[in-house]
Amino acid sequence: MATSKVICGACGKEFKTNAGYLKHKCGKTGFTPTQVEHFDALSGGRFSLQSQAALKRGAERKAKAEKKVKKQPFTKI
Amino acid sequence: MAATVQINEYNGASETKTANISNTNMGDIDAANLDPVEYPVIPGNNTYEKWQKIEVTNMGGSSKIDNLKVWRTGALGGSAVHKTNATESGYSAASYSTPTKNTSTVATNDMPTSEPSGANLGIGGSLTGSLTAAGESDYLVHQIQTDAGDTEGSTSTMNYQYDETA
Repeated sequence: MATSKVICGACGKEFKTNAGYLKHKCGKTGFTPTQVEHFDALSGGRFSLQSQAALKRGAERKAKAEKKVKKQPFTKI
Repeated sequence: MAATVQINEYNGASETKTANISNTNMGDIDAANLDPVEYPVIPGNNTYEKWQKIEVTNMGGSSKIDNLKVWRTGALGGSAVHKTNATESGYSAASYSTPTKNTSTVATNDMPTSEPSGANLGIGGSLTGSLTAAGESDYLVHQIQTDAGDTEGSTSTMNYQYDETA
């Protein structure tokens, strides 16, 4: 089933497509839902902090995965 | 710059999408951002299911979003239980159906009450899936099921977590 309409949870404006929603300048924040500023305006700046934490977790997992690969035993054929 | 990520909710038979919800209040109506005082759950009944997704609206220069985890912190009132389709094992993506207040046949696992050790919500039907461009996760479905002896009104927090690789 396809989504029938998209409502901006912040300003309440309705759109026929998700593309339309993503392009609109939100009446509440003055930014589009693709801009960090939109989320920071709605969260009092908390979004950027959450984003930094997500990036930190991603970097830690990447480093851990790379370390695992380096630990693989080398087999000479 | 970082990726922009939001939580969406889907309601009704026509799957109306409310983008970037401001809360996940559970109650006796199938609606996003509902008022739980206006639509309280009568003890012994269930809340309407919540059908939600995590959406990346812009990768913001990052390469990957993955490792989606959801859990609740804070106690429910009385002996109420919180059920979900999220799971770390035996996962399969849910297909949308109109949210119901009948006992969910989709949300059948206990909602974790602390951070799961691994992903429990998938992308593209897989817990190891990832988003490398704007897009959405699979559906997160959850419902609170109460007991007749429960007291109305409890406040807890839903946690939605993702990892982002620059």
